[in-house]
Amino acid sequence: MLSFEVLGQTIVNGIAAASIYMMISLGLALVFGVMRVVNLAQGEFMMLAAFGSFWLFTLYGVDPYLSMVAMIPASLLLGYAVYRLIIRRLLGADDINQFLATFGLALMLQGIAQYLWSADLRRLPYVLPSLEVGDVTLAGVRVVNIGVCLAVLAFLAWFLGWTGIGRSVRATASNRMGAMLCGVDVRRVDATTFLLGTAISAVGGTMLALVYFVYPSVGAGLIFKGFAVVILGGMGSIAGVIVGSLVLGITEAMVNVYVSSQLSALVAFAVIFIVLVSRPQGLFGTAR
Amino acid sequence: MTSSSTPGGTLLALLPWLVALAIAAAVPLFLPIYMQRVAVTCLMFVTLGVSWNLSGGFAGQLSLGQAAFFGIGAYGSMITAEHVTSDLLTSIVVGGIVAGLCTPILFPAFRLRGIYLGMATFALGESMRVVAEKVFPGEASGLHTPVVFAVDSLAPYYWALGIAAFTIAVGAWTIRSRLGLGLMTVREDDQAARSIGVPVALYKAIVFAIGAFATGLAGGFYARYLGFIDPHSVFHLDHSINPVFVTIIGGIGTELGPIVGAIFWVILQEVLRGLTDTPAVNTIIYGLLLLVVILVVPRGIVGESQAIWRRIADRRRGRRTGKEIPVVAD
Amino acid sequence: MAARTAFQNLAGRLAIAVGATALSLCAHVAPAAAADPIKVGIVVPLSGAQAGSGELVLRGYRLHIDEVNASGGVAGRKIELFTEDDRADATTSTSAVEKLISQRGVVAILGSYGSAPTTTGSDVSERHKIPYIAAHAGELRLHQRGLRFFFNIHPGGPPRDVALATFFAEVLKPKSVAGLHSNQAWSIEGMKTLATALKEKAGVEIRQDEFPANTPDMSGQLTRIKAGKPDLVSLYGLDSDNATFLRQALELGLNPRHISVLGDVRASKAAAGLNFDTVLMCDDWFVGLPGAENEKYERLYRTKFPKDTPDRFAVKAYAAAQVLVDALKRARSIDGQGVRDALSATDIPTPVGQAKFKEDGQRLGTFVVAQYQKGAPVVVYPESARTSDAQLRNWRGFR
Repeated sequence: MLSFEVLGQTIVNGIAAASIYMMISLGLALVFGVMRVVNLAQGEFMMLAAFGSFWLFTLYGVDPYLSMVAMIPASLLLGYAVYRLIIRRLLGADDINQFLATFGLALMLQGIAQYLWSADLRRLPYVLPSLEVGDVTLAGVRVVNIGVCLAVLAFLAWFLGWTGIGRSVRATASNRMGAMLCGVDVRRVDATTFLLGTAISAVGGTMLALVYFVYPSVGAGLIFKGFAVVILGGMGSIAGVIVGSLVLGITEAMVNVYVSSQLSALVAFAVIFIVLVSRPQGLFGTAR
Repeated sequence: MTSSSTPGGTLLALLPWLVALAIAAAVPLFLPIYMQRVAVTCLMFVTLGVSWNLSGGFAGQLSLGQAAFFGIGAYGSMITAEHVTSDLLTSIVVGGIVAGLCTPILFPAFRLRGIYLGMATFALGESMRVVAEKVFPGEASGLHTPVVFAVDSLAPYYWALGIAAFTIAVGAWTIRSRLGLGLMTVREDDQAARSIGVPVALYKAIVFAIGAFATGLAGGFYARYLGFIDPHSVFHLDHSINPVFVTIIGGIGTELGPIVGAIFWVILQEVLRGLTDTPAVNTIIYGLLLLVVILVVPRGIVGESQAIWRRIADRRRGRRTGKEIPVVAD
Repeated sequence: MAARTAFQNLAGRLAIAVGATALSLCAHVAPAAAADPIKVGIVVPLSGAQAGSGELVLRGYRLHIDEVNASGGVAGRKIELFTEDDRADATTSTSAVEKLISQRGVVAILGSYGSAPTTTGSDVSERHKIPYIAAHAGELRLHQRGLRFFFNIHPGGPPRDVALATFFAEVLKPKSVAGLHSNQAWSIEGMKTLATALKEKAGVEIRQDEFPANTPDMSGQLTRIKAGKPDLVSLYGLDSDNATFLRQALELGLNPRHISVLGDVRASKAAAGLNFDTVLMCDDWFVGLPGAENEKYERLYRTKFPKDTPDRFAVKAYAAAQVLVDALKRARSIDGQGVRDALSATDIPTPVGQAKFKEDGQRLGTFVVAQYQKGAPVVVYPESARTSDAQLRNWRGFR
């Protein structure tokens, strides 16, 4: 049972799951880091993009990796509307109000998706051949997903490190007041950050559609994994998200195979509770 | 509501509540059976909302894990009914007590505030569901006990009313006591509260225990009322979110808020059900309502009405004394 | 124009809602005149994860009732249907059934999808002495409650599990078997019965594994199963679980000689794009099942829904509706007790086989094993119903 193949396969399964977790957590962490708003509707952005790619493939036969790109401008439009109408008004609002307003938005988007497309579980029938490495099987779409995830990380590193607006985003995240005093247009930074998060979620939505089912509440299930990752990595830390996703994905896969498949659902919740209680700043955050 | 210390004054302050109770007691006599059932749901929402409002509204401690206590209460009463005594009162009270005794699972989270407390309690509530599914295996293999109530019996309504009235009374007592004052200080600034000698941790523990007990009673009653429970239904996230929802709609941190919110939401749901057979519409309205209330009227129905009333009263008073009192927007 | 119609529709519904509320406020319901419609309630999940299945169940109920109404109804009386959504949830189901009985005044309930809502829903209808006919609930305990107004088209788990075990032992003769079941009671019970029967008949143990129903990810379970190198994997899950299993088995390179599932693998939208050839399935009905009743049913279904293949959800609901209409025709009086007595004496042919209820309200039925061959299921077991031999070669996966 404890053979090397099983261990290798389990770790690969975990990394594949982590690539999806990373997509939702990056959005959460960016928005929280800059605006101190927890956006519970982040998962619904993913869900809508997943449906978008699903329908483009089902109705017009568009390759999902093409719709992955096509979903970005669509998500930016939605993201901007949400930012202007809702998120901007929540800056500095009570925690409870932020939480519940974005929860309301999430429910509304789920309801709309269900109204339009029903609650059926759907699958995007797109396959790539699997790779065999020894006894470990790598599903084609999951391998590509991991690649896409690395590309997104590379883009993010370039954007935050080498562009002017990216530097403003980092400055605002580390000290909003200070950035404002230095003449950073924090409103522009807020909008940019939110849209960046939305776009990453849209890319993640297509990745999701390729490996999971597409249905209205698919994002709601993932947002909690996102919480676990963001809390584990330290709220708002990008490096934390990368490590947090890998830790969560691989731990879940290990518990699933070696302990109990039912208890693997507990990992994310246990992480949230234990980390918050014992080390609220997470692995990469600094104490507040 | 200000209560004076004279016995007559206390009675006067209680009068509106007693009238409301009398009306509530008379209501089911005029309702068809189905609407009685809806009214029971409404009273359950009232109980959950009022008990959540104590910690979430008055003490400002965002808890999103009440489903844990609801589920514990439900299982407590069902297991008692199956193995100890089928007596209704005993099993429901046992459910409440067991839930109350489980409050210490929250203790580690007491140092957290705001969204962090919300997430920790949420994680706790969901963990309880997963654990319950493991302990009571088989999603649908819940517990089943013989049905207690006859089909046209008014008893479930009065049980639900009794539990709601009890919760409201305990809540009213809590917020008027030293405990309540202390908790409101904690909500404003817990450092300051500590510095003026408020035992913050103890008070939090007490208010959460009261909430857990009331929620457990509701869970216990629900289980016996239905005669069937499974982990999926009694530890459902809905039992954590609905109390927050009705309290926000009605007015967070106001005594009447959760009551008004629960009645409003239940009636709206019934009207919607008559208008459309598309369940998704219900979800959309739920979300939209939450969003609009928070963005437009964050004080909820009761809070906003009170504010408007106060403004009108101020203006009248101004007119009587002959000078205008400026209305200060807050 | 469209807006106007929508508005009228809404106004009409509002009037109905107000009217119904006003009506229900009157304590006494006027005795029904001969030409009044017979009211029948339907409870099905129309939202939540089971909504897709629920809609097909509803389709089956309506298909037969529409047919009956078009040909004049029951003794000159039309059947009027009232539908409620129960989200396949135990709690919602009780208030839905309560509403149908006490507010709409229905004389019978056509039931939900799944054992949990069926348990609580039938409890409520029992208290009102109104018959509840289930089409899709297989848990054992449903019939151990001593209910008198509960009838079930599902013949229950054990006959299915024993049929499957016998087929395994006699035809497949596996050396190493892995069983994978969901965390639902019917599934746990079923896998236990299957394991006991297989041990008895072939002396082979089943290595069992569990997953949460409707999970999007079984990679952990499949990794474990793959390591055991079984030559038969038997899956007990919902239709979406069948799809998850096949897809991930393919991705992870798990390819045992035989794969067996319950129900029809193609039934869920989640199964799009998969090639099912050689996958084995066990149920009491398959599309194309020989028999006059089923041929008639499939013709009707294909005329009404030319784009869809007949599915297992609608057909069982159709049979339940047939059983109810037959009872309404024979009932001494059109009320709960009268319909119940007529139901208990049911003996009619339906597309899923003869409908005849045991003392505890469960239909006596037989199961068959089918296999997908060239894109369609064919019955391979038992001998009496067989239309083709089982193909004993590995599954190939995607189209």
